[in-house]
Amino acid sequence: MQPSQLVELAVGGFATGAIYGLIGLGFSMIIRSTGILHFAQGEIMMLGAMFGWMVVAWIPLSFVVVLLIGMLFSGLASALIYLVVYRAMQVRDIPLMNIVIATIGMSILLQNVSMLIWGSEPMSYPKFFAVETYRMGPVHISPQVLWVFALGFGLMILLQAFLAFTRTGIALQAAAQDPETAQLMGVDLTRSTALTFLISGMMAGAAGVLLGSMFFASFNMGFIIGIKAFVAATLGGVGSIGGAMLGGLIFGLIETFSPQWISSGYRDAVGMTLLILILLALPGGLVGLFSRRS
Amino acid sequence: MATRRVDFSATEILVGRAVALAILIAAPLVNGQLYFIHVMALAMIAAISALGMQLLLGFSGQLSMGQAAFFGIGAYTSGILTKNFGVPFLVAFVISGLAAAISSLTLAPITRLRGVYLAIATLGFTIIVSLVLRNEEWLTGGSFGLMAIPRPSVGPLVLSEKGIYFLCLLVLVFVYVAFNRLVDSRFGRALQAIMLDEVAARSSGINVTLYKSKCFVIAALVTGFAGCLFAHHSRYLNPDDFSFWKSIEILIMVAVGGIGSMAGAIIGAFVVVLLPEYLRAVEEWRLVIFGALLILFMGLGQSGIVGLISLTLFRARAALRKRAHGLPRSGSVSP
Amino acid sequence: MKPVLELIDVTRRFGGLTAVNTVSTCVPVGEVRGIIGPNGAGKTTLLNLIGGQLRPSSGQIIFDGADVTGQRTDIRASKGISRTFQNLKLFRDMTVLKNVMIGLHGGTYAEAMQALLRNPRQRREEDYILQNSRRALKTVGLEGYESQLAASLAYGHRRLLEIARAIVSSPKLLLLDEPAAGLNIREAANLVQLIQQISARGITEILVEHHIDVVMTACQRITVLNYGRLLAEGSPEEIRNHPDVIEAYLGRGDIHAQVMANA
Repeated sequence: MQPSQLVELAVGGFATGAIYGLIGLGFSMIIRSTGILHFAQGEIMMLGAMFGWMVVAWIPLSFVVVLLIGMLFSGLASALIYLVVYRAMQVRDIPLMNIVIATIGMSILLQNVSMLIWGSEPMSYPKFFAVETYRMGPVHISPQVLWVFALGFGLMILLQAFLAFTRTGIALQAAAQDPETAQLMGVDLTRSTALTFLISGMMAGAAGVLLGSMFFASFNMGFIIGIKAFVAATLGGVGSIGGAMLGGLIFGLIETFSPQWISSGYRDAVGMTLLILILLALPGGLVGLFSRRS
Repeated sequence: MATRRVDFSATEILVGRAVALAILIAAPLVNGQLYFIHVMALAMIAAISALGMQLLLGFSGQLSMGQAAFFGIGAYTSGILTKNFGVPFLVAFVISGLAAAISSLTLAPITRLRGVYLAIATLGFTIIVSLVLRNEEWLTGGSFGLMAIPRPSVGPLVLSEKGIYFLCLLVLVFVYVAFNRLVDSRFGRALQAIMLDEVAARSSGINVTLYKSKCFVIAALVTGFAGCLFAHHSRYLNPDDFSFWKSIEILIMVAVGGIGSMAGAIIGAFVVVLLPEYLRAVEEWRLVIFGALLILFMGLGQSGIVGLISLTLFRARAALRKRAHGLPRSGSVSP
Repeated sequence: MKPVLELIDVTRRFGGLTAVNTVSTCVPVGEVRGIIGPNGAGKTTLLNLIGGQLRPSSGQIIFDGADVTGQRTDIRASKGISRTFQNLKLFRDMTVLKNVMIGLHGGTYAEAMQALLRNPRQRREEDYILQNSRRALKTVGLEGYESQLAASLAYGHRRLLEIARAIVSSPKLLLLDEPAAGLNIREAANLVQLIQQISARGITEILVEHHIDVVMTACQRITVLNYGRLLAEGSPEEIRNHPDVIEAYLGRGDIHAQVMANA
């Protein structure tokens, strides 16, 4: 393969990785603070894509604004779902496994309600970006891919900063690590969990708009991508946001380059096999490999 | 995962089983419509896979999203063997179950995983298997599907639609009885112990990993049988029918029927298969309803439909008792 | 006669913390051994090491003459080590009787195939399990509670249930982790009686306890741990008056110190 093709593919892989990372970190945040594997996370991403599409179909807006609106809607949807459904179950001491099954139900519900509302045809976003590719020597990169990559990683870095440097962010981290102590120190667990769902939802919504603008928005885009985002999160290390970013990046690359060694029909199998291998061999993910644990 | 204890008296259970069996035997004789018999047979096939899932989820606490894979392996194994190699049906039936059971052994290391991670790992397994079914056209017919699968036959006797129905009923009854025996035994107690407290189970001498794996193998075996029946019932297989959606469907059957109840698995299967038939008018709402039902049943913490029945009977019994004690006591001392 | 249990330089580290530090001791057959020590001394960890819930970082554990140091928990249980847990690990959604029946899993054999066939051997085994479970319930005084859910029992009864589950298999070694925790004076006295009854059946017992009265009355020998190390070992009399032991408790300003001093 030509080196220029290598670079082009890699950038594409990074963009895909950004999307997996955005969704994956949501998985991580939610599992870390509640133990719930949120099966509907992919659908939250889908909602972001749908909301974004709806908005821009009515009012022509710049890409960043559409992105922000999509993020806002899906963030709110996610937080609302937590408050109305999952929290109601937590309060009644419903076992964790039941709640996880309920998220599967939520996933089905959201998919099919979306289908009823928006139909089953995939919907295209308008062209936001110039069609001509950027050129750097022999390398051609579409502006769209660059934007997705830049925005995606930009958002994740902003989130990391928020969590590390703001009071709310630090409280959120504390609540995830040790809910009881955090509570004793005055952190309202319901609020911090709702905030966790809000942020996860916003990041997933961003991924939705980014993905939608690259390809299309459709009611069933969430599930498989959701599972793959979970693979990314697991690869990096469940519960770690930096891990989700790293995992997303690496997994994006792996998936993009996989057609080189296996037939395209088995592309999804790469992720699934990787998932099973990581869960069995390296449950703490890459981050777990690097941090010293007793 | 803890499940709410569902209480039925021995009489209630006996009556319930007798009535259900009577209905199932009588159904195709009362209503001779081919389509009706066809759907009822499908429901029974679904019930067999639901029983397998129930053993895993309701009795050993393992949320397996891999049942569709076993279903598919069973179905395609039997379909290919009978169609392409002329293997007699009964032999193919046994081999399908074994094929599914053996494939579940590859999941043995996965049984170490906890709760949600087991779920997603088995989901990954289902996706991998469904991709194989779709891509290996030379073997499975790929997305064109596997067509013209022969009818099931016992020796020279080829089974009619009614015959298939009763075959499915026979297998269902057999699996139901077998599973009830399994559950009410040392083996079953060990599974439940594992579900409730793994450490305590180990400390009582239970080899947790071994039992979890055995559970998978048994569940895969019967699901493989169900797949075989499905193949010869539909006589056409398409890989789309064996995706993770099938696994989710089987989960819904168990969750709606009642986690922890074998009868519940059967009831849930019938609901999931039959409800869309009666809700033709709201076909597009079918999955919305199932999604909502799943959330509802999990949220209410009830043991599904079986739990609701139990609650109703409980209240009815209490009401009857109240009425009985409402009469003045005999031999009371008068002031 | 070889001792039931022999610990040789058993050590367990958790990262930087050494919870159990080169503890060596011998427990002869039929003894009732107490393990005491201030909070954090490593008592429960030591019990976990013996029972197999934890593996030692170094050292050896010899049970009934055989090295079980790396052995899995369930194999150890089948070989005759039973235990109760500090925070109770009952099968809450099962009946009292079923809880005890699980305790007999180790020595019985019927697997899935036998359960299906219900052959005579399986039925005899089930009968055996049932009878012995009922007997164990009688020993601890819970005969009337057979069909109740474990979760619905009163606290004191739940503790007894766990003991029943542990003794039903007639183990060689019974580990009791704070069996008297939360019991009132009458219940504690009954517990001491039960411990002695069990010992009379030939079962060796090791109990970790904070309840000094229980330890002093029920145990024939006491091992004292402090900061993971073996501080002292001897008869209740010797331990009661042991200067190091008193200091370990007193030096902490522990309430137990005063109890020790007055025991």
